[in-house]
Amino acid sequence: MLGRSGSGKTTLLRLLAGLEKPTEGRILLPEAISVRGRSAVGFVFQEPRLMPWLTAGENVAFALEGRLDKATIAARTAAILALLGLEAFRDAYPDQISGGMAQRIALGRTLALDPEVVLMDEPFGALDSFTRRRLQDEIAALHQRTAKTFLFVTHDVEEALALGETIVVLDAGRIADHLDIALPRPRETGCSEFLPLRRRVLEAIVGKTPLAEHR
Amino acid sequence: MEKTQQSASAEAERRPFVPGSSGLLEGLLFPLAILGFWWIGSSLELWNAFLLPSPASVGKTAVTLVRNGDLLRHIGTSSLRVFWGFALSCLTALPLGVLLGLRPRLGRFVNGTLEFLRHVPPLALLPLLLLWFGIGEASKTAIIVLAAFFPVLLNTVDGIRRCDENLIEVGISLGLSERERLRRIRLPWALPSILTGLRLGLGYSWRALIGAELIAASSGLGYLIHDAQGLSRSDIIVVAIVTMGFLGALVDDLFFRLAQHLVPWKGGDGHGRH
Repeated sequence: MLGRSGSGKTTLLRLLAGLEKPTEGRILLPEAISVRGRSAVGFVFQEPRLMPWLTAGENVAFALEGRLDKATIAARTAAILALLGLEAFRDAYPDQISGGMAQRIALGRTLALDPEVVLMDEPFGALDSFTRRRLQDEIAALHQRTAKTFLFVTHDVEEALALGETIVVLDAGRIADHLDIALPRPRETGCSEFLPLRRRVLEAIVGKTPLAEHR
Repeated sequence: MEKTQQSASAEAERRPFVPGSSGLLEGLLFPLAILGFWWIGSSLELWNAFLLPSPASVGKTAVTLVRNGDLLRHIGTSSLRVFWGFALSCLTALPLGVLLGLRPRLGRFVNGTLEFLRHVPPLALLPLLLLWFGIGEASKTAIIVLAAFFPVLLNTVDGIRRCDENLIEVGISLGLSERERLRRIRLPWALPSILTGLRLGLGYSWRALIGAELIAASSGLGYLIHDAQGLSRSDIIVVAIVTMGFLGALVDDLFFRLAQHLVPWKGGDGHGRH
């Protein structure tokens, strides 16, 4: 989901997560998801929001405590840490790790419940471009590997073009455009194939192309 | 702001706190100077020995009091009183603090009354307490409860209320019930504040108790001073004062170390930001 700040994309995501209640209208989820309940929908926030008194490993296992037995929790935590390349930081505290690592731990915490849908609210916005690029690739790889649906909110056009199989452009709370991108990932958005896509997306966001504004 | 908090907490993480070890020598300089001045002054008889006995006589008295068990007995009595009073105080203040922290609307009913009570010095209530509970242990316990109650209560309320709502949202998004969010997010977050409240409460308890023992007791360190005053034994008074100082500082330091051990993270969010 792509749009300017204030276009309603974060609000929509939070509505889907049940963090906000709609003032009108309804949200319908596929039966498989509503049967499994909350755990079927995971949310990754803009900030890592890790529990400062827990280690990275304990943060990842946070949602599992009390729901599964110790052995399963340990195994699943180890698997997720391995998946995200974070085994070395299992016993580190949040104030000892970098922003990128913290955000990966947060992602791991969300994935621990094995949700079918992962909602991500501009998760890489606070990171430097190198880390952002790497995490984008990791998300793309995760998407490839698992059967999960990722709903990714961003205001960064390049990020949307790089990651999205489908891009929904929001403008002032309404869907301005909806396009599918069938190109394989990882993508080099500097390539010429992306020019028409980028123009289309920008038009949807801004209302007219940047060039048109100058005329 | 973010950078400083992050680096401050990181530094606290990397530099273990060992009170006194680095400043031990420097810390001893001042007390030794005082001691020296005291010694010289007494030897030169700059003041009446009754006003301030020589360090030697105070030392001798201290040894005597330890030998005949008196000092230890009084220390034990006072400490036990603080222990029970403080425990009782926490038993009431902690749950109430959590409740008021979670339901700020309840505060509308009680805040005014609590503020009023908070500003009444516990010792001022002593005559009334003596009337109600007599000269026995009950009045001492009551005064300790009153003294420790507010620091513990207010810091607990503060700790609960200040919980980062972002973390609560994480709890909601992970499907935690309200009870689970209280137990696993709000309480751990509030722990540093609660420990601060406990530490303050302990200090207030100690001071209030000594005051009460000075006025109306037949045992304890405060009584020791009161009794010594009647017998014109200023050396015993000095011994008692020094004991109180050391005891209070020791207990406070132990508590501080306990707190450091329990909460090394000092209340930042997942990344040094608030």
